[in-house]
Amino acid sequence: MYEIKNLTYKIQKKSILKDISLDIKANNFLAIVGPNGCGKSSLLKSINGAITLFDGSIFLDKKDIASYSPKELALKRSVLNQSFSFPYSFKAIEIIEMGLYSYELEYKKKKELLAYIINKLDISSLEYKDYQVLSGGEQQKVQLARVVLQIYVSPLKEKYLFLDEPTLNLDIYYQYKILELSKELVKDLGIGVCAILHDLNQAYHYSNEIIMMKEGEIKYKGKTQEILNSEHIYEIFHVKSDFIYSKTLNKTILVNSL
Amino acid sequence: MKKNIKTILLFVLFILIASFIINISIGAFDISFSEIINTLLKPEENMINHKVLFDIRIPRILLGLLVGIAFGVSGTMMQTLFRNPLADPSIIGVSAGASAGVVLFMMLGSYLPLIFTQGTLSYFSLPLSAFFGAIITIAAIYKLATIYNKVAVTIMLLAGIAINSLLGALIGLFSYVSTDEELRSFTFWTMGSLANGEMLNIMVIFPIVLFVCFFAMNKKVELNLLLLGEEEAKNVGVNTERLKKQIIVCVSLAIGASVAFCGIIGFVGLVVPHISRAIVGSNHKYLLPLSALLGAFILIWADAIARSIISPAELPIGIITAILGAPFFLFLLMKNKQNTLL
Repeated sequence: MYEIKNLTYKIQKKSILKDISLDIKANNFLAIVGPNGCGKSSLLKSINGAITLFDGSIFLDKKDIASYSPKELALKRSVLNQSFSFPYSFKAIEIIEMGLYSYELEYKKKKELLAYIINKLDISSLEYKDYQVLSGGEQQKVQLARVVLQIYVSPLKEKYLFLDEPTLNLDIYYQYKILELSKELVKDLGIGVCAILHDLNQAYHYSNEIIMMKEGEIKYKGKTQEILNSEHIYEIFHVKSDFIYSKTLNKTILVNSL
Repeated sequence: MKKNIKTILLFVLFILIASFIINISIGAFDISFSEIINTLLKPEENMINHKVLFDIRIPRILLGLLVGIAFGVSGTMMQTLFRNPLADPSIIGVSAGASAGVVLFMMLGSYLPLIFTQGTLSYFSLPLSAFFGAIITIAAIYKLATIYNKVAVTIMLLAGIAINSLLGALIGLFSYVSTDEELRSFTFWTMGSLANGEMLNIMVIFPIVLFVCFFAMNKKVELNLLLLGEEEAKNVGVNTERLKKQIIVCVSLAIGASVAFCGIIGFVGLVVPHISRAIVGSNHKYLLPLSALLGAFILIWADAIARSIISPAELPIGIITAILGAPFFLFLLMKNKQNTLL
């Protein structure tokens, strides 16, 4: 379990994160929602050591996160960030294979795992293409495959997957496919997923827990069913919302409007 | 595909060996192949040829070979560290930084105990001061140019301009305090020359180049991962902090040793990785060996041109590589207009 206490982060005296405390559990889907610039990405980056904190502590399984080596951490969690540029030409499959860096695997096993993830994400058409010529959405799929592969292979029992807007640039079919895959990882492998999402309806359907952020602070956190309601959504996003039951979909849908 | 790449590598290796042999006969003092064979078989009958071959020509080609490998491999590592194809040691000022180290050492030389400036130890003190000049420069540029995990190309190139003019100023200063003869050999040195090819120099530079090549090949996977960006490489499990420092030390060693003995030979570190990438792709597993081979190939031929074009005099090799390399740099700038600037 991640225990995050009193996280504070500033850029030139401007507070980006204000005194944030939260737990991230395995076998759980945690969604982070909030308006642009509320510090969601900074929160994810600070948890994963990409930015130096001003104050606060992060413990993973009761050990300070700073005491882990990069390789130890790579077995514990993998991270999908926003926007990737790759300076030189590389094949998509070579980039996906990079997710296996921390593991000593035989050639045959490697091939099997790569085939598995490529099949899982349905990206066999991209496999041997040059990453640089792929569209934004296709690049996102390749990076997702790399990140998911990294944590899928890990032999550890408690492991985590951090996703910064995994649905970015993806068409609606793939958005749901990715979310279904994340849910499957929680259910089958007990992975703790922590995802920044923009679509509140998706957060409503896929997460067990939710954090609602605004201006660098956590305004609400708890079970999605209890926390994500019209009142809170209006306070955070200034949009009206309603939960509507659809007979055809046999689901309650969260809809928003100004 | 992989088989093809191995064939290409073997082919380039073969061409390199052939070039080595051909180059033995080229120079101010022409020695034909039959004479070479004669000299090898009966050294006592061909004293002059023997002397030219073993004291001048072969050491010089060996030095070219080693310096070419150093530039090819360190240029590739720099372009990976900066994640940019324009990061060349001579363009971003690393070579200039190394030279500045040497110039400073020469200026202070008269105040130092003779043991550092004359005799065997001087073979180490020059490369060492070049190494310090280089490492300070790379570390400073990398620190300056990285903002939030991204390398700002403009800052990288501007820092190069600043360091190059700093070197210019140092050389200007040096020219006031040195004799005419010192100045002439010094100017020749800053423009790059392999005329320093003597066995002692080679014995200093050989282990360095070997070490740098060994390091680079040992880290080929990590170098690939570094292309994802520092943050991503770290997330995948690479100790990026350590790797970055190791790369900077290795590049400084290679550039430092090359500059100390051969002066500034520009653009080789820019052109070679680029051509290699076009042939075998960006995977360091193949890119590094090909860059090493092509670097050596280009350098020994550039030197062959340098010492035969105005024979019996010779041109500084840096002039040849700049004439060939600078237009290539402009071409790269044009080609990368959209994605590399700013």
